[in-house]
Formats: sequence, structure tokens, C-alpha cells
Amino acid sequence: MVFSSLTFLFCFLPLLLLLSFLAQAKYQNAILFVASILFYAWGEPKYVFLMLLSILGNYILARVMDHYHARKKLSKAILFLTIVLNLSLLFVFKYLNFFLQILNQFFSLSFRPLEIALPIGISFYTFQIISYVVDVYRGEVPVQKNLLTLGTYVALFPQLIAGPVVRYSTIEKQLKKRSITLKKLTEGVKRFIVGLGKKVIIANNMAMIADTIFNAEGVTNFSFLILLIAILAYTFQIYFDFSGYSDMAIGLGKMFGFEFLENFDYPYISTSITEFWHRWHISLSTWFRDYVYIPLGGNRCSKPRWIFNTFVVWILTGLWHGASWNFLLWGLYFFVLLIFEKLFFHKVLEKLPSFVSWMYAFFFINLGWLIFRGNGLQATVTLLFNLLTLKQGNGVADFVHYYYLWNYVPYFLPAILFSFPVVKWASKKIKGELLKTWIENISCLIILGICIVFLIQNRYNPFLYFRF
Amino acid sequence: MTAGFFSSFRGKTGVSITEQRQLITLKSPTFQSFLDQTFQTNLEETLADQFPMSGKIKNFASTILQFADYKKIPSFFCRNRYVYVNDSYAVYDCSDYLVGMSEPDEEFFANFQNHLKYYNVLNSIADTYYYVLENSSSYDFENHRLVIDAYSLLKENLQGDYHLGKFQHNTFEEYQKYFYKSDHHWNLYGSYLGYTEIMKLLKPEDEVLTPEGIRIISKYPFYGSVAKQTRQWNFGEVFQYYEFSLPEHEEYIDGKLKNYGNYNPKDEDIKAYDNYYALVYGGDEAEIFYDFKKDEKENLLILASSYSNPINRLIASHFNHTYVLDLRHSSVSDFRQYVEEHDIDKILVLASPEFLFNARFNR
Repeated sequence: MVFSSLTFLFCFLPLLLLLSFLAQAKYQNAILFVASILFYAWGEPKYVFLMLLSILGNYILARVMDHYHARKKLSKAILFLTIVLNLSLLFVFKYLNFFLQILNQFFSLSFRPLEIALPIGISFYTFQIISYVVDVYRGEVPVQKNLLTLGTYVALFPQLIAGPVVRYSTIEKQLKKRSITLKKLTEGVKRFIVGLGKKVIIANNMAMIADTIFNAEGVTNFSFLILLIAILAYTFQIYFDFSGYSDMAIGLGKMFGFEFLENFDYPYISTSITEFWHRWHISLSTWFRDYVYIPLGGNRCSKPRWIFNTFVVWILTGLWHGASWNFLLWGLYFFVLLIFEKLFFHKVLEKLPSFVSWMYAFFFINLGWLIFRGNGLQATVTLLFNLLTLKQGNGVADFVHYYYLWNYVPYFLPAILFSFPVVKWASKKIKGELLKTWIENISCLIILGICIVFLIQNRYNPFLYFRF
Repeated sequence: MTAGFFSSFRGKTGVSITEQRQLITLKSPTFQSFLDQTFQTNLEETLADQFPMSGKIKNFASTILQFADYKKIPSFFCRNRYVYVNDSYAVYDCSDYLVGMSEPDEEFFANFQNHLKYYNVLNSIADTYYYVLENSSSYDFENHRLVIDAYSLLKENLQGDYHLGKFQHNTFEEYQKYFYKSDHHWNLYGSYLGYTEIMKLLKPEDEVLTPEGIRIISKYPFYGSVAKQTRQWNFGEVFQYYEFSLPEHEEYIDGKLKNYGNYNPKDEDIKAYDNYYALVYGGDEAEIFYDFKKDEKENLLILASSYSNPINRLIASHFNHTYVLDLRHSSVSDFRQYVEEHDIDKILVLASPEFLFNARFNR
């Protein structure tokens, strides 16, 4: 089930909220767990047992590891086994076919791809489970003795399929005791509506432009101008889609008494790539920092070793997003940019006017999305070449989807506007809490109304996270 | 919020009285339908369709969105070429006509082969007439070619005795004369021409009906199904239809005595964004029966899609009993039995591209 569906908005959510309000505190986790399983099974009925198995397996292993906590070597071995098991599961379902494809390509073998579908959200819940087990091993959080509580954490539906990657330590106390108040509920509803608006009104329309162009026949012959529009559309699509889902997750969390950490902080205002990665998918980059980069030695080591550590993190970041050469290249691309910035360019960037450094960062972010979105490596390289050489292909004059494209251009305006913190700025300018609340409430009602209209109309509503 | 949830359980009859339309209804869930997610899809579609006032909301949204969505295309982009508005429809030659675009694929021909089986049965049980109707998707105006030559295809494949005729328009100029701008159907001129040509085939000795005048729906523009489907709200047009004086007769829809079509709609019957083609001529029904009570005349069976709606009663006025079957909605599959039961003398097949190649007309 996705948040931007009528089934979720009008069946699942109201009924679950009603149940939560009526139920006693001791039943809250049970209700959330069952609801989360139903939520997951709705879109992934065949793989719900895989997740349940994963929860049970990790629960047992974490308990055993904790039991032998005093015996360092043994508990480390159990930790290692747990991580290997989790990653193996991820490998089989997400990377095995890609691995076979590599073997076939490089060693002229002929392994047939296996018919395995990628379970939705597996990357998110696997990373959450690993963070939990590692934190237990490090003694940063106590082991969870209640299977239902651990299950609720892993399967928690607001963040299950599209993140953010919520760490166990962040919500450990809330899993035990949390309060659902009217204030939190109101805040949650508003945040959810903002996220829904980002997804349904902006991201879906941007997706229409990006998908129309990128999926068109002969896209590699399209001109610079058309490709530019497609990349910009995709840049806005992925931001508003992803941050919209995060907003909805944070809002839903609040409705049920949880406080999740922020996942996006206006990434497109960044004036460097380093800053971009401090503002984009914060939960994932900090996960890699804490569970890969720092354990590898971080930056407190020799320069070559630091470069190697960064390389590992970015290859893994690329692969986390999907099993394909494009994602690998995308990770590598950001590795090169970040190393270049840190080694040579950061001092230049500091001296440049902020608009110029913003232009630099935005240009390379966009180029990165082209690699991320491309349909295969060869097509991506051709597209990159056409774009960078300002190729005047036949895309402008003969582009048959030109008319279609024009229909969606007006949606760029809110996309550009809301990529900047205009709402924050406007909010500061408004004097008086009551007036601010009224404006917020009315805006949310209008956004919700538009979203419902769009959903009733069955407009384009793609789900981006099937590869994550 | 929960209003929408409960709305999915109303309308067990599957008909909205307020909106006068068929609703998508919620099917009972099964383990299999949950596993293959057809139940989930059905629930989402039901919610969208049965949402309170969903028709009004959609119309309102469409009105608003036309301002956001429409941009006029510069002429140097569209002269003598197609400019697509979606995968299936385009505008040709900077005109204000939305035209269908389709390339026949294997499925087209598989469906045709399926249809051929019962066409050949028809040829053997009654005097059968095929009238081929080509619409915009039959033509590639840019390259002046027929995308699919249905007339030749029928001629090459039909067996037994039959009669074959064709509604011909070879150029885009001719097409514009006979078809709507925003709808795939033929307009009053096209359908009247079709009627006269069909009568030349069926009963060359009969005099055809002459229109007594033209009526116009001017209250709101007519947005045909293509405009609605592609949300091209600048393609609204004035809906016109011929007025005829017909002899006394009775019309039955699916066995019940009622009027088929509202030939003289009053102002209060006309609502914005309604389908005036269906309002005036009648919608798609499983079986329409016309009884002109002329026992001395023959009985006719018409097999057609919605293209026959404007001319059903005109043709029927030349016969005693006329039965019109829309095979998308009718369950009739034993034509031999049907023809015997209804004492049919002649069969007319209005062979539009949809009728010839669409799986919904399979038997």
C-alpha cells in the first residue's frame, strides 16, 4: 500500500487512528504491528513472511549475542553472523541477478537470471535491523526482549517502504511508552498533508514529463533542450517524491506518538556537493557514516586509506539504491566529486560568490540524477555526451511528445519555488500565532482537496522505491 | 475522510442514480485475488469511482486544469504532421481535430480471426451485409496511406455469400467533414451519409429519410470522448444533429419498453461535459429492439459498435422488426439460434475498426 492512495487515505489510516485512540496503551504496539503487516502485505503479499522471518531470526540472534555479551569473541562472531545473514538475504533478492549478469559479461558465462522479485522496502528494513544489532553489540541500546516490540520497530508502516531509515535508538523509548496527543496529531496530519501534496501535486506531474521523455523511443537523439527539461523534471520529481514520503512518514509517526528525525533539508539550495549530502536523505548518509565509514577508520587515518574508505561508502551507497551499473556509476560519480571537493576545490568554493557555487552544485547534482535515472549504461553515456556537447539533435522540431510536454510545464513553477525554504521564510514574516495557524490550516485543506481530486482522477502516480 | 471508505460499500446495484452512470463495484475478496493484487486494485478503483460526487469533482477539476494544461502549439511545429497529445491520439496539421493513432499488432489480427468465425456463420444463415467504416485511426494522413485496409481484409477472408460496402474518405479534408473534432465517432453528416449508403446496399429500392432540420446544443460545448480522455479542453465544439420525422414505433432496451436516446433534449437535460452523442442518439446497450409494426416488411439484425447509434432508428424505419446487438454488452453467441428465434431476414454488420479488431467483440 502506498500513502498516496485512496485505500490508505480513506480506509487504512482512519480505521487505524480510530483503533489507536480507542485502545489502551498496552495494546498500541500490537495494533501497530498487525496494521504494519497488513500494510506491507497489501502491496507485497508474497514476501511478508520473509520480513517476519527476518524479524524472528534477528530477534533470536540479538538475544543470543546479548546473552554472551561478556565473551567478546563469541558475541562478535554472532554479530558477524547476523550481519552476514542479513546481507545475504539482501544479496539474494537484490543483487544476485546483477552479479550473474556481471559474471556472464566478464567471463562469457551463460547463467540464466533467476525469477526473483525484489521485496519492497527490503533495503530499508535490512539496514534498520543491522543498525539495531550493531547498537546492541556496542551496548548503545539494550537488547529488545519483547518480540512484538522489535517487530513493531522493524515493520513500522510509516517508514517501512520508503524510509527514512529510522534507527532503533531513535525510537527505543517511544516503543515502550509514547503519548498520542491532539497537538501531536494535528502536527502530524499537517505534515502528512504537506508530504502528500509534494508527492501527488508536484512529483507526479514532474514524473509525467521525465518519464515521457526518458522512455520515448530515440531519446538518445533528442536535443540538449529537451534533455535539460527531462533532467530538471526528474530532479524535482525525485526530491518531491522522496522528501514527500519522508514528510508523510514523519507526520504519520507523530500521529501515532513517534518522533522521527528529519530526512531532507532543502538539498537543492546547497552550494557544494558535500553540503548536498548533508541535506539529502540524511538518515541514509548518517547510517553509512556510523556503520561503515567510521568503523573503516573514517578520516582519522592516512590519506590513501581515507580515500579508500570514502570509495567503499560511495560504492555501497550507489548499490543500495539498486542493482545496476547506473547506480554503481552514480556512487562512483559522487565519490569523485566529493574527493575532488575535499582535496582541491573546497577553498575555491568558499571564495566564490554563493550564486556561482550554487550553480556549480546544482549542475553536478542534476548530472548525477541523469546517471541515476538513465535506462542502461550505454544509453546514459550517450545522453551525457549529447548533453555536455550541447548536441542539436532532432528532438526539438520532431519531438512528438512536445505538445504533451507543454501541458505539464506550469508544474515547474511550484517545484522551483518549494525547493527553496520559502514557506519557512514566509512563516517568519507572518506576525501572530493565530493568523499563522489559520493560514497553515487553510493551506493544508486546499492541498488535501487538490490531492484527493488528483487521486480520484487516477492521474499518473508512479512508485519510485521498487528498486530500493 | 471516512466518508470515502463507506462510499465504497454503497451502490450495490452498481448504478449511480444521481450521476446516471454505471459504477465500478467492489468484488468480494478471495485469497487468490489478494495474492495477485486484483482485489487491491479493484478497491482503489472503486473508491475513486464511488467517491461522493466524484463525477462533479472530476468535471470541476477538468475545468480548472484546462487553464494550467493547455498551451497552443506554434504552427511551424505542426504543419502537415502529427503532434501527439498522448500515446493514442494526436492533432494533425495544426487543426482542431483530435485523431486516433494506432498501428495494428498481432492482437488485432488474432481478434479479427476470432471474429471471422462468426462472420462466416452469419453469411450462411441470412442475407448478410458488411459496411466498412474507416475512422481516423485507419489512416496515416501524413503519408497518405491506409494503416489497415479493412475492406480488402474482409474481401479476402470472408466466405460464402455476402454484400460489402465502404464508407470512404481519402483525405484529411474529407475526414474533417464527416467526423467530430473531439470524438472518434462520425458527426451528423458522416452518419447520414453512412445511412444513405447502407440503405443503398440493404434496400436500393427504398427512398431514404430526409432530415427536416438541424438542431444544435448550444448551452455548453461538446467535449467528445477523445477530448475527455486526453484532457484537451480547447477542443470543445457545437453539437449538431439532424431532426427526422419517423413513423410511430416502439423501442425496447434489453427487453424493456423505453426510449433509446433523447432526440429532442430540453435545456434542463443538458449538462456541462455530458456525452451529448449518447444523450441524443442513445448509449451502448446489449440489445435494442425497434418495432415499426410493418408486418409485410423484413426483419433486420444489426451488429455494431457505438457508430450505429445515430442511424439505428433510421435504418429500422425501413424494416418491420430491427434488433441491434452490441457484442461488448450482449451475451448472445449462438447467432444461428438468435436469427431463427427472431425470424431475421437480413444482417447488417457495421464494421468499424473497433468492431473488427477489438477483443471485446470476440465470441
